[in-house]
Amino acid sequence: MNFTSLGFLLFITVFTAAFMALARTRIFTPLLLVSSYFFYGFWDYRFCTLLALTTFIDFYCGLRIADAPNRFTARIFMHLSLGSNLAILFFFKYYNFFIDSAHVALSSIGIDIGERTLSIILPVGISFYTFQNLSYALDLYLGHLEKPERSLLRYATFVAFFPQLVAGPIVRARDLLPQIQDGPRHDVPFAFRFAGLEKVIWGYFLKLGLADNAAVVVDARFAQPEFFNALNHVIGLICFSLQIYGDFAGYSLIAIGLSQIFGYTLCENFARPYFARGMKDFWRRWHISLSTWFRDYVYIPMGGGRSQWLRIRNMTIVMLVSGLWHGANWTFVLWGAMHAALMAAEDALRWLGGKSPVRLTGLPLGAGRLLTIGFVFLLITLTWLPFRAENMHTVWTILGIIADGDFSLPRGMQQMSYLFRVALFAGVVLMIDAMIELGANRRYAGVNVVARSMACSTLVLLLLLFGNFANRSFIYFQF
Amino acid sequence: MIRLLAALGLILGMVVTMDRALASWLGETLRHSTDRFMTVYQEGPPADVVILGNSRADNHFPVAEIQNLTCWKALNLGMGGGPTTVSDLLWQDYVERHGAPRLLLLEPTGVVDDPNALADVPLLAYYSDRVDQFIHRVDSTMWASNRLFNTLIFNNNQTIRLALDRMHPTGDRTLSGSMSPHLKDQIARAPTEVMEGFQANWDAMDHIIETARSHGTAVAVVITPYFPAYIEKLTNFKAFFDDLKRRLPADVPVIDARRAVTEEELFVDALHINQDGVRVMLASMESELRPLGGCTGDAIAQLGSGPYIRPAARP
Repeated sequence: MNFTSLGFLLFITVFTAAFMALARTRIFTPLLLVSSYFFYGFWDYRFCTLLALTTFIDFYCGLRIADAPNRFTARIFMHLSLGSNLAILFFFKYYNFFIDSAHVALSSIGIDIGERTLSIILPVGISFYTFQNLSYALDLYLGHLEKPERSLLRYATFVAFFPQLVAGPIVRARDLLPQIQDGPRHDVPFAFRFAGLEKVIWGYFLKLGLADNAAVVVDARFAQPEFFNALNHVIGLICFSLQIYGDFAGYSLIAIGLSQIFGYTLCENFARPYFARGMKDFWRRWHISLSTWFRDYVYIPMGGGRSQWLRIRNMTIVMLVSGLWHGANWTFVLWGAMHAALMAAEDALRWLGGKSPVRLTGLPLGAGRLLTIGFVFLLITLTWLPFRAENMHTVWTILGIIADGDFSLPRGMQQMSYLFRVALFAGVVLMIDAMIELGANRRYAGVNVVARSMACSTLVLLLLLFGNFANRSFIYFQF
Repeated sequence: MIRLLAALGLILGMVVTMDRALASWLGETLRHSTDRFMTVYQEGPPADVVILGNSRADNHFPVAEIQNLTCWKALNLGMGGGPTTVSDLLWQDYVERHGAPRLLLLEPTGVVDDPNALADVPLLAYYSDRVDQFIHRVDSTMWASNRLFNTLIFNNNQTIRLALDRMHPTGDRTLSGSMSPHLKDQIARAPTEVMEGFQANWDAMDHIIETARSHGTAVAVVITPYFPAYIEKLTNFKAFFDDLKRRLPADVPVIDARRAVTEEELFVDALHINQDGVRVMLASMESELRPLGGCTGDAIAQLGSGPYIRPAARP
C-alpha cells in the first residue's frame, strides 16, 4: 500500500480508530501484526508468505543462538540465518541478473548456455526486511542483543511493523523490539506526537512536492534521451538528485512520523545530505540506517580502517555490495564503484591537505565550505546517472549528449512549468534544511502549536497548488 | 491522542479556509489575464477566425500570420496534448459566450489522441460547467478532489503558464530550433506505427463542424506537415487521411499540407515544424487560405495603418 494512495488514507484512519480503542489492551500487538500484513499484502498477498517464512526462520535461529550450549552451535544457527536470508534474497533479486551476466560472458567466448532466466516477481521491500532480520540474528550472535524474543507474535510484529516495512529505515532489533514488547506508551507527551505529525506533513511535502514533480522532468529525459540536449540532461540529473532525496527522505520521514504519532521511536535516516562537505560526510547523512548496517556488519568485521590498505579495500567492497543491494544491474555496480573511487580520492585529498601549511579561517573558510558543498553535490549528482539509468546504453547515450555540449535553453512550456515547480519546492526544502543545519530547529521546537499548525497548513496549501498527485510509487520500493 | 486529533482538525480548518480564499483570488486574477484560453471566458471583442486542434494547431498557426492571411482577427485555441473532444469543449464554450466566428480552421490530427486526455483543460473547469462535467466523466477522482479543495483546480501547468505569461508575455507560440541528430537516428530506428482515430474524437469533430455550419461559420480543415522520415514509419498514413477526408462533409475544404515541408532542418520533432517551417507551410497554403478570409484592398490597408476593427460577430 502506497503512503500516497487514497487506500492508505482509509487504512490509517481505521488503524488510528483501532489504536485509540485498543492500545491499552492485550490485543493491540496482534492487531498491529494483522494491520502490517494487510498493509504489505495489499501489493500482492503472496509476498506475505515469504515475509512469514523469513520471519519464522530468524525467530527460530534467534532462539537457537541464544540457547546454544556453546559458540560452535551458535555459529551454525547464525550461518543458517545468514545463508537462508541471503539465499532468498539472491533467488528473488539476483538470480536472473547473474544468469544473464553469465550468459553474456559465456557467449562472448562461444559457449551458449541457452535461455535460463526465470519469471520471478520481486517482492516489495525484500532487501529492507531481509537486512532487518539479519541484524537480529547477528546481534544475538555478537552479543549486541542480550535476550532473544521468545514470542513469535512480537517478533513477527517487529519484522512487519508497517510504517518502515517496505523502505526502511532499517531498524535494529535492540531499538524496536523493546518498544514492541512494551506496547504503545500511554504517557507519550503531546509535543512528541505533534512532532510526528509535522514529520509526516514534511515527508509528504518532500514526496508529492519535490520528488514527484522532479520525476516528470527526469522520466521524460531517461525515457527518450535523444529528444534532449546537454543542458536538458544536466537539468535532468540535478532534478534526479532532488527527486531521490525527496522520495526517499520523504518516505523515511512519513515512516518515522507515523511511528512517533503512535508512540514508537525509529532511528533517523537522513540528515540533510546535500549539505555534506565530503563523500564520507555524505554517507553519514544519506540512508543512515543502511550505512551504519554495512559499517557494523560488513566493514568493521572485515577489519575496518585499521590500515590505509584495509580501509580502501573494505570501503570498495562495501560500496560495491551497497550498489548491488540497490538493484541487480551493472549500473548499480558502477554507481557503487564511483562512490568508492570518490571516497578514495577524498582520502588522498585530505592527506594532501593535512600536509599543506595553509590554514583557512574566517570568511575564506566559510566560502570554501560553501564551494565544497556545491562541488560535492555536483559529484553526487553525476553518480546518480548510472543509478537512474536502466542500462549502460542509456548512461553512454546521455554522457555522449552532454559531451556534445549543446547548452542552448530548453524549449517548450511544459518542461518550464515542471521546472518551476521543482525550483519552488527545492527552494523551500533546501532553505529549511539550511536552517536546520544552522540549528534553527531547536528554536522552532519552542514555538506554540497554533503557529506551527499554521506553518503546516501553509505547506499543505503549497502542495495543493503545486504538488503532483499522480500517485507515483516510491523509488526505494523496487529495492 | 485526542489533542493530536484536535491539532489535526485545526490544521485542516486552516487549510480549508486558506484554500477557499486562495482559489477565489486566483480565479478572479486569472480571469483577467490576456491568455488566449481565458479570452473565451472574458467579455470582449470576439474573433473572426478561430483555430482548433492540438499542439500542431497551437505551434503551427501564429495568430499574426493568420491575421495577415485572412485580414480578420484570429484566436488560436490549439491546446498541446488536447484531443478533439477537448477542442469541442473549447469551441462550444467560445460560441456560447462570443457567438460564432466567420471562419473555423481545424487541425484534425487530435483525433488520434486519447479522447479522455485532459491536457491543459482542468483549470478551465473553474469557469465552465461544460469542462467541469467533462472532468467529472473522465476523472471522477480529480473532480471530487477539486470540490474538496478548490485550489486543486489551479494545480496544473496552465496556471503556471498564465502566471509566467503575466510576468513575461510571449505571444508567439511557434517553436525554435531543429531536430537533433540523436532524434533523427531514433526516428530512423523506430518501429512502424499505425494511425488510428478514436470514435469519441470523430464524434467531437463532427459536432464541431455541425455547430459551426449551423451558425454560418465557414470551416476549413488544415492538415499540417509531418517529418518525411516519420511518414515512412506510418504504415497507413495515406489510408488514414483518405478516411479522414471521407468523413468530412463534401463542402468542407481540406488544405492538405502534410508534405508541404520537406527540409529536415525545418522540423523540431516528428510532428512539429519550427518558425521557418511555419513560414514555408503558410506560403504553400496561402492560395487556398487567403480566399477563405476577408481580405479586400481596404482591409489590407487597414491592417497596415492601425488596429483592426471588426464588425460584430453573428450570434
